[in-house]
Amino acid sequence: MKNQILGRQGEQVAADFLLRHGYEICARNFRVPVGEIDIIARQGEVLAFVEVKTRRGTRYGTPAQAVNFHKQKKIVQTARWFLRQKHLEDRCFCRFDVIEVYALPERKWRVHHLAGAFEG
Amino acid sequence: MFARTFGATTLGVDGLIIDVEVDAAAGLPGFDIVGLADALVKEAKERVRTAIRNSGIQLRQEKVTINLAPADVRKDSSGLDLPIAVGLLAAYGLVSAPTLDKYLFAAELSLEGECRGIRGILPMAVKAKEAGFEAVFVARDNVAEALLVDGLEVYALENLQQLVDFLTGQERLLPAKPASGTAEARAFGDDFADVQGQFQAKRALEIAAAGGHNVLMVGVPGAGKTMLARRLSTILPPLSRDEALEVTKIYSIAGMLRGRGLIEERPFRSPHHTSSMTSLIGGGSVPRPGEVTLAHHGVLFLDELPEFSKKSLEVLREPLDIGWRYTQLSKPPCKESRLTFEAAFSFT
Repeated sequence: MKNQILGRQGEQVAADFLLRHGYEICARNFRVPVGEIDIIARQGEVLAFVEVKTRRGTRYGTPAQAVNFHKQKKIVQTARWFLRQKHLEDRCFCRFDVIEVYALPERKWRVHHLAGAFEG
Repeated sequence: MFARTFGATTLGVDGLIIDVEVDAAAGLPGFDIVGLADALVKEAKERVRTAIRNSGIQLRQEKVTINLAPADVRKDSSGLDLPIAVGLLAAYGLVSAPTLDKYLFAAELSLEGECRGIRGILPMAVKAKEAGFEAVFVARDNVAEALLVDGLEVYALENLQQLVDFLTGQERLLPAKPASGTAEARAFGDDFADVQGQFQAKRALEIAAAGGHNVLMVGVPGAGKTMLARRLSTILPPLSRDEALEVTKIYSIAGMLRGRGLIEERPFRSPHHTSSMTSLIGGGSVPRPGEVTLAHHGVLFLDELPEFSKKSLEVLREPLDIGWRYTQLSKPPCKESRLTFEAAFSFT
């Protein structure tokens, strides 16, 4: 249960990070039968599908390493679903990002944004 | 946006101009190469993208599709890296597209963005000249080879950055000049002139060399058959320019040129008697020149003739008979191989 709470907090941190960097949040936790995307954000004409991974340390590998091929495929499928729903297919530039959020002691966070971490 | 550049691959012993069409559009990011690309060309994806990034150019992720036309020919040249990279930059609007149709690009890229030499540059350059291109861009290693074609500007590239600067007009590149080497006297390691005695054998070889006949030498071990055979190509007349170009083309495709320019000596090939049929005669699904083709305008020496398999000897009969052979049966390109056969075996 504790991990889930951490994950939610990490997503909030990532969303704030994106807002601070001039992104506009289009959707949070976009969930369809094939999968879920943590944050969908827009900056100019680029739409970023963001997977947020929160960790307390790198003992089990970096957070980004946890976004494996299987997970990537799921995110891509979900993104397709989103584009179709909003009638945006082939009309906007897309990008798949991973945001690593490290939970540091004393409720501090470190955010690492990997823009264009993988492709469909 | 759409852009088109030109590259080349080899087919048989000739070059073939390849249209590299690049399209970058909105949509889910991706990078696909279509048009019957070999694994070698598919891997260009990683080389090209990394090379562009390491040349200090950031490309936004887009849905990139690359088509290599004509689509029905297998492309197996890593020299397509450069036209793909240039096409990609043009599709992103980073270099201007209108000038690109006058140039042919042929070089492999390193991850750092450096240009590397490839095999088959000469036939590609010959084809580029025929197709009316103004200039070819090749890696420094390939310059001497590309310069063999008259009336074609050759630019030597160190890296991708240099080419981008040239195409955007930030830097000027001067076409490479042929090295003005003085014509050296032919010097041979093994010279026919060094042979003492052996009058009868020498006379036979002289007649064969003069008339382009085939020779069969029979004798006891140690009689000097191999020694004489190795020296036969030194009494053949020097290659004419056209012949030399043909020979160089073949060696270029076989990847045996290694930065040399024109091959001016007559080739001497001496395959081992365990050689397979294909290695002798060439061919394969991606046709490669065999020993017969490599000995074009030169000497093919079969030492220990009876040790060759019956099959290998049988396949040599056709080129021996009609003086040429096709490198591939189904496709139009063909290769003439005019050569002197020599065979030697000993009675023991």
